Amino acid sequence: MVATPSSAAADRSTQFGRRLRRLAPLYLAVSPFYIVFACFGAFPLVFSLWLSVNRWDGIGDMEFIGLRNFALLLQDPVFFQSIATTVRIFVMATVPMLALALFIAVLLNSKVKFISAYRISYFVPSITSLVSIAIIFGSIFGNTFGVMNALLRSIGVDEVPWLTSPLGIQFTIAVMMIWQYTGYNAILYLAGLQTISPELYEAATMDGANSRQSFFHVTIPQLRPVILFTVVMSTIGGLQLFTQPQVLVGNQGGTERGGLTMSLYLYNQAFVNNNFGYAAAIGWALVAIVLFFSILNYRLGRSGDAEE
Amino acid sequence: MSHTPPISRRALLGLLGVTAGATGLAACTPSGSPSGPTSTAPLAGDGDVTMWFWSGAIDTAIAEAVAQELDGVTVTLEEIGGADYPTKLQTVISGGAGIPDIAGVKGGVFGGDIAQYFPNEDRFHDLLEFGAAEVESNYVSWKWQQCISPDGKMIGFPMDIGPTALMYRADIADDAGLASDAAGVSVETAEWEGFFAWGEELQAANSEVRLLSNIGLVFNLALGQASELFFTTDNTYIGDGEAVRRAWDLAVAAKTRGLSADVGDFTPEWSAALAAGTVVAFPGASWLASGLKSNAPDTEGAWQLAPTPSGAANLGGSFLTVTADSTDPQAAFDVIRLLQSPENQAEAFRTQSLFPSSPGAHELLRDGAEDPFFAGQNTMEVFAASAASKKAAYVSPYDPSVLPALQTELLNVQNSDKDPEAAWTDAQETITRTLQQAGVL
Repeated sequence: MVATPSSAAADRSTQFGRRLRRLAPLYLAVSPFYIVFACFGAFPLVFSLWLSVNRWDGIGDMEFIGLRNFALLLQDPVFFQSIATTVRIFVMATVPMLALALFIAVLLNSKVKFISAYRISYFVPSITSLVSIAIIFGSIFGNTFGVMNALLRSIGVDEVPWLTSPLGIQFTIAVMMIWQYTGYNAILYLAGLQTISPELYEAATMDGANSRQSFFHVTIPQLRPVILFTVVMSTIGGLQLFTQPQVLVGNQGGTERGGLTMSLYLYNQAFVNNNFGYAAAIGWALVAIVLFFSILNYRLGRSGDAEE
Repeated sequence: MSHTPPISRRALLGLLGVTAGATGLAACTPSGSPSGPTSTAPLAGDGDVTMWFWSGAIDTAIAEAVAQELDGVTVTLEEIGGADYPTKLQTVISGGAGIPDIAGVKGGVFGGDIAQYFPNEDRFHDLLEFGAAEVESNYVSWKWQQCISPDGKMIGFPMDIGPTALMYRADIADDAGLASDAAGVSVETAEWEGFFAWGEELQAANSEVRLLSNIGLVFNLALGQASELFFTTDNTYIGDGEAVRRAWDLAVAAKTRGLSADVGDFTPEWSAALAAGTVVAFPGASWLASGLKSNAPDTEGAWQLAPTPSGAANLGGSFLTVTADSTDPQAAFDVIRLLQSPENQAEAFRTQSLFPSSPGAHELLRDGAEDPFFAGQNTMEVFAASAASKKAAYVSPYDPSVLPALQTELLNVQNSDKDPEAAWTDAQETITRTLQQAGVL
C-alpha cells in the first residue's frame, strides 16, 4: 500500500490530536503559571517594546514615531544625570552594606545568649514599610531641626545640608538603604556561614592560621557563591531604586535633581508627563544598563573561579 | 463535620479554563475598544450610576441622600484609595472596561489634571448637552472655564477649589512693632513689593524669623494670579513670556532679599519651623489652614488672615466628569448637579472641609465662620472674596509637565545658590526637551 501524502498528513494530524488529548490535562495543570506570566510578564514586556517606538499619552491613539524616543533619550542630559545619580547611590550604599552585613553575620554566627533575638532584630528593618522609613529619615536628616545636624552642632562641626544638596540627598538615601538591607544580607551570609564545615577551620588552625587568616582564606572563599548572589541582587535592586528618593525628596528628585534615579525619571515621564512612549524607551535603556552590570558581576565572579 | 457537595473534576477544570481564558483575553487586550460611538443615541438610561472618587473627595452621606432624591436613579459609590487615583482612572479609561459613569478628577496645582484629558475629550460627555448651562451662574467663573476644553466641550463640573490668602503670625509681627492686625497688614502687603518690605522690617526686628518657608510658593501664587499661564488656547508655548517671568522674578527676589527659610512645604522641617514659630507668613490655599492647625495647635489665636499680595490665586481643587461609556449620562449629570448644588457644597464643607466653588455656598457658610485659630476672624469672608476675585486663565494639557522644570530650578536657586539667569535658561531648555518628548514641539 502506498500512502498518499494527504492520508499521511491525516495520520499525523490524528496522531497529533491523540497526543494532545492525552497531554491536555498536564498542560492544563501547568497552565496557570504560563497564563499569569503571559499576561503580567511577557505581554507587558512586548507591549513596552512597542510603546517605546510610539508616542502615547496613556489614553488616546498611539502614534508610531520609530526610534525618535531613543534619539531624544540620547540627547537628554537629565537621563544621563539620572544614570550617574543611580550608580553613585548604588556604590555608596552597596559596598558598605555588604561589608557590614558580612561582619554582622560573623557575629550572629557566634554562641551568645539570645542569639535569635539579635537575628530577628537585624531582619526587622527589611520588612518595615519603606514610606515610613523615608519619613523618619527625612526628620533625622532635616537641616535645622534634624537630629543629625543637632549632633554635628554639639560636637562643633558645621551643619550639613543633607536634604537640600545633591550629595547630601544621595548620602541620606544610601544610609537609608544600608540601614534597611544590611540585616537581610547578614541573614543570607549567616545561612552561608552555617554550611561551612567546622573541619575546614580546624584544619586551618592546625596549619597555624590565626583568626584573620582563616576568615580571608576559609570563610570568604567558601561564601563566594552567596556573596555573588547578594552582589547581583543588590545591583538589580539598587539600579531600580525608586521609593526612597520619591518619598524623601519628591517626584523631581529635589535640589539639582540629586535624588532623581532612573526609575524615578521613568515614573515622572509616564505618570506626571503622560509620555508613556518616552518612559518605555527609558525602561529599555534601564534594561540594558542592568544587563551590563549583571554581566560585569558574572564575569568578575567567574574570573575569581579561574584564579583558584 | 462539614458536608460539602462534591464538585466534579470536569466541572472544576472547565471553570478553570473559562476563567483563565477570560482573564487572558481581558488582560491582554492592549488599547480596548474605541468607546466614542457606544453612547451616541441618548438611550433610555438604566438609571444605574457608578461613581469613582478618592478618599475624602466627597461626602458619601450627601451622595446617598442625592440618590434617594432622584427617582429611578441608583448610585453606586466606589472609593478608590491611594495617591495613584489618577493613574487608576487613566488605566480603566484606556483599557475600555470597568469605567465608572461619574469619575472625580483631581485638579493639580493649577487645575492641570482636568486639562490633561482635553486631548481625549471624546472619552467624556459634554455636560452642556445635559443642561449644565442652567446652573453656570452658581459657580465662580474661572473654575467653570477650567472645565471647558479649547473646542468648547465641557468635560468637567466644578467641585471644590482652593482659594488663597495670606496667613500670618500676628503675634510675631506685633512683637516686632509692625502692623499686625488684618486691616493694617492688608494695606502693607497689598502688593508683593510691600509684602517683602514688611518682611524685611520684621526680620530686622527679629533675626530668629524668616518671612516665608520657601520661594516656590511665591512662584505658584504669583503665577496663579496671572491671566495667562504657559500656553495659549491653540497650545502655543508662552511660558517664557511675561506672566511666568514675573512670577519667577518675584520668587527670586524673595531669595535674594533673604526672606526664605528654605524649607519645603509639608516636610518634617516645615512642621518643625511652623511649630517653633520661625516662619511668619504662609501665603497659601484654604486647605493650608488645616495643615497649620494640625502642625501647630498651640498657636491658636496667634494667626490672622489677609488677602494674597497682588491678587487672588487658587491652588488645588477638583472636578467631576461623566465618561463617554456611561449607560445613563443624563442620570449621571443629574446626580452631579444635585451633589454640587450650593446647599450640598456647603454641607460638604462642614463635614469634609471641601471649599465650595459656589458663591451661594459661601453665603450659606458666612455666618458663624469666625475661626478661633485666626483670632476669631471670619475666614469664609476672606476666602470667598479670594475665590470671587481670581482671574480666569487657560490651563493646558501640558502645564503639569512644564511646571516642575521651573520649580526644580527655583529649588536650585534657593538651595544651591544657582545663578537665577542660568537657572531660568536651564528651565526653559528642560521645558523645550519635555515638549519635544511629548510631541508638542
